[in-house]
Amino acid sequence: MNRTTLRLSLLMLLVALSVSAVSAQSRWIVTYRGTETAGGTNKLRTITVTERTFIERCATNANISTENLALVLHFDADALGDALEVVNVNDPNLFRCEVFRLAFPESYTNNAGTSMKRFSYIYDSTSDHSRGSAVISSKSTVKGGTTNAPVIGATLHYWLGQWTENAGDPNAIVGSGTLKVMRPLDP
Amino acid sequence: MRVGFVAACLLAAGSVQAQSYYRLTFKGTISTVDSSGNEVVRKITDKNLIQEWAGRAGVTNFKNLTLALHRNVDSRGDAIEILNRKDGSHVATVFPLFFPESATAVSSKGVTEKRFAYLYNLHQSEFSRGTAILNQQLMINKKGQTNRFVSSGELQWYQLPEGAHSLRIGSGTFKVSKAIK
Repeated sequence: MNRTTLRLSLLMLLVALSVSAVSAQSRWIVTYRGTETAGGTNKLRTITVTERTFIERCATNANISTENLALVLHFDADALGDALEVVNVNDPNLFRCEVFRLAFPESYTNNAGTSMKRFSYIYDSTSDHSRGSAVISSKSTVKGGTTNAPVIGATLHYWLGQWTENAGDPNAIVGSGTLKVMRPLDP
Repeated sequence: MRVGFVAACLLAAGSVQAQSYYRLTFKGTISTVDSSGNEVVRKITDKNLIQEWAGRAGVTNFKNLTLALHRNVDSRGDAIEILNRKDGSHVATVFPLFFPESATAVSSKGVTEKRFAYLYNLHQSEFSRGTAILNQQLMINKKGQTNRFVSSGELQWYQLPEGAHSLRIGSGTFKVSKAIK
């Protein structure tokens, strides 16, 4: 057992890009509540992280306004799995910023198709090694033959910092939190 | 000064190594689908983890077994293990928690740490199979000796289909209490 966690290879990326058009994808606007903790001299520095935090980071990096931006859970973003993205709600093609890729999912769905649970590895753009994990749950109810909108939530564990093969990052930031789906983005 | 204290903390941490087992309790759930395709969500505790992992090791009498956090198993990190309470012998390793990434604060009272670790399963060891977030405190007295270690956290993982089980996804929280001597 070595430090190699699941690794995102270039080949996998190319495969993903080539087949992403056939994925049955859907985007859902989410809220997020969590924390990120960094080290300090006498005490840890912990900040509250919400969907606004991810939106503002993406907007700042792209040097654009946060207007019309939302955090979305993008199911089947490509062949590797799902993604947590910040997009322009009017048209995701206008702006799309990947916060985390939720790749290599292991999931089950019940026979009735009303309950799904999925474990995924979290990746960010800075490393091809996994940075954490996400467990997504989706449940819908059927009433009078009609399937109601699913209740979808997820728990995230991750770390941010410099990936080094044989050592931890002394400046690592450790994050965790939960997200809840509010409404579908796609009509 | 700070370097000296950090060194003292590391020495103190090192001194814990010989006695680095702490009793651990776990509460969580594990979800799967049964053979009929129905979702089954089951509450689990340390007892269930002990039964499954000690059972795999051929143990049939689970009395006197306890879950333990084994700090500094080796240079890769910690592990959740099953120990025999009576003689302290190792029965099985449940989840290695390796390759930690930590946010650390050192003060005159000790070391506080928020730690991320990759969770492994020795029976499905090709890759990490989950993650852990740990809140840890190592308290140190004026002589630089460790006088208390506390830890709690959360785990989430999956287990690939095996035997009668289809894919299982688990999560839960744990607390570490006293040291096991």
